[in-house]
Amino acid sequence: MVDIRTANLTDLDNHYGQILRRPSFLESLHNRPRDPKFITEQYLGRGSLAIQKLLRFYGIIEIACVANLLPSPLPQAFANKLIPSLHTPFILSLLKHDETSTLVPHLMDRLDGRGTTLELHPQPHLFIQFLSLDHSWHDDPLVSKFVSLLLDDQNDYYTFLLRSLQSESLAEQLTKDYELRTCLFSMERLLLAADDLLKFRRIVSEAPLLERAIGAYYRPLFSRLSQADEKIMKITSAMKKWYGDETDDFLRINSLRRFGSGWIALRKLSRQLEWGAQDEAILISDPALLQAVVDELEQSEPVLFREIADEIKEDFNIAIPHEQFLEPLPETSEEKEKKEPRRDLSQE
Amino acid sequence: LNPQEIAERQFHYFPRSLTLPFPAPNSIAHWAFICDGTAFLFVHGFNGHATRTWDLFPGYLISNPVISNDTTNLKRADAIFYGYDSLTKQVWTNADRLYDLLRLMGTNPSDMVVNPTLSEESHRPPAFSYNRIILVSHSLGAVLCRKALLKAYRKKDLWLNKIALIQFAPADMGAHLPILLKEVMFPLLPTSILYGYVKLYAQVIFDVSVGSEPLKRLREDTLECLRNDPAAPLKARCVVHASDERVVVQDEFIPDEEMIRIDGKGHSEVCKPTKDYMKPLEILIEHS
Repeated sequence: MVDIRTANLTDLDNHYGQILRRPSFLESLHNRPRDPKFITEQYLGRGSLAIQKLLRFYGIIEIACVANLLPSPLPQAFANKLIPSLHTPFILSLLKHDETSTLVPHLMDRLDGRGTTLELHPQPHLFIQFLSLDHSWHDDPLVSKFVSLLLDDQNDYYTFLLRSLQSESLAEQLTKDYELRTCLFSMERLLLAADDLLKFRRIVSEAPLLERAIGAYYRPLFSRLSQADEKIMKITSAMKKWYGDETDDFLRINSLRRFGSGWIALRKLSRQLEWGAQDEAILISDPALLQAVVDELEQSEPVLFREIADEIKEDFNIAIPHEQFLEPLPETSEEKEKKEPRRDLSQE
Repeated sequence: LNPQEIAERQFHYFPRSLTLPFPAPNSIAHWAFICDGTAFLFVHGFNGHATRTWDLFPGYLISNPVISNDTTNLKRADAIFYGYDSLTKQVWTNADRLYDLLRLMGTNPSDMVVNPTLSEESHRPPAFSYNRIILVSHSLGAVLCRKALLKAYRKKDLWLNKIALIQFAPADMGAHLPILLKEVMFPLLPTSILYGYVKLYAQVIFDVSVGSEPLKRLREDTLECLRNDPAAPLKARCVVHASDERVVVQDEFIPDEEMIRIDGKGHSEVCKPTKDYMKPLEILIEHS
């Protein structure tokens, strides 16, 4: 039987290090340009998910090292596998322009035998719980399906979904149409996943290193989502219309509570994962929906609902942090218009 | 804690996906580095999720520092969070698959359950076996467990004696459909649409509605076994009900060993430990 640290390394390598076993990827890594403009675009997640997976792998290895969960020093065979990919001109250049992969330079120092300056010890149980959470939904096919359905311009599932939601015969369609069902259920899974991640971020407050890294790990997913945020808002607005059809008060309130908290989770995550300010503005740009949620929750008897309502109101009064790695884009007139109702709401 | 002490607090391998001869979506296993022959098997409920249903349970169970300091053997116990298709597969199919998993765990755990997920150098010996399997269920999961145990009893499986059953908010006496649909299914969808969907694609829900024939039969069959053999290992060690329960019927399925009421919790929360609510974990420790 091997010792547990060696077993840990094998586990992480098997689960997260797949990307380094693809010869074509390694070759492309060497051939990538070093132009900062190109790197920025890649970094934003519009291009290479493979690069994000690679950075994620490096980061997880470094955290596990800091938590003393891996052999120290790392086995030479493993280091030899990592070093060539770390020292490609592209990665070196990427690290100069990229602030999210803060763990990677530490890993490089570690592998080069220079030691590391990181002294924060993430609690092992939190790291293990993070791995568990990661296993359970990071590659959730329904979440991926939802994102791809929204972003698939070729088949335009989005228009199909929106039309279906606005259709009179939705119930009938839902029982017949596989894509429609998948898309709706996938959206709910996404909200639940966002809720999970937000909850976990609260738990890991005692492990700042892990907390800081999580934003980077999940950026690709939310970065992809940010490309569809306007579409998400239109879908949520269509859903809001449904609530008017529900006559059972308990079910109505319950639905709204669940939807409200899930939606808030998604929005909070968008801010905590430091999307660009424009994404936040778009996400919260449906004041009618928000007002409906707040009204409904405030009138509810259970204290929990009112607390959620307070949370929403409080959120809307919090200024959006602008410490993003990205400079916020200048506001368009359309975005300014969308922000106006926010101020109205907070005044109320 | 110094780094050495921190490392010494890891008692389980990193979580890994379970590979079984049948579909077990999102199933996660935490194998103990040194297992003393105890396993916890968690079975979620209707529209639940292998791990999400139990929220922080995996973390508390395997690595919470408070727990690892106590005298229990959690640090040497395997924990499996089993996932199954609770929407489109009917109760019989899911119960039969759970039975298959229990049979594998009870007869040949090394080759069929544990080792396929471990690297070769970490394999457990072929002779490894479990002494105790603590079956922890929530809601619909309780029905599956009862059914699987009944099948094991009828087949005279010897491993049945190793099983200890703990149930949270069991749905074995039936669930109120409209509330179940909204509480644990798709809160985004209006009831009319949900009914349309479940009629065609989630017949399982009718298997667990209040007064359903399959539930009545399951109860009668279990009671009959107990009448013929009062020592039959079919009783739950502990049944936990939430005071704010709205989804399932709170009544005695069979005369189980103990029933516990937890105040201030609802159907979904009763099985989820938090920093301020460690009761689920305490129940497991006490009854395992």
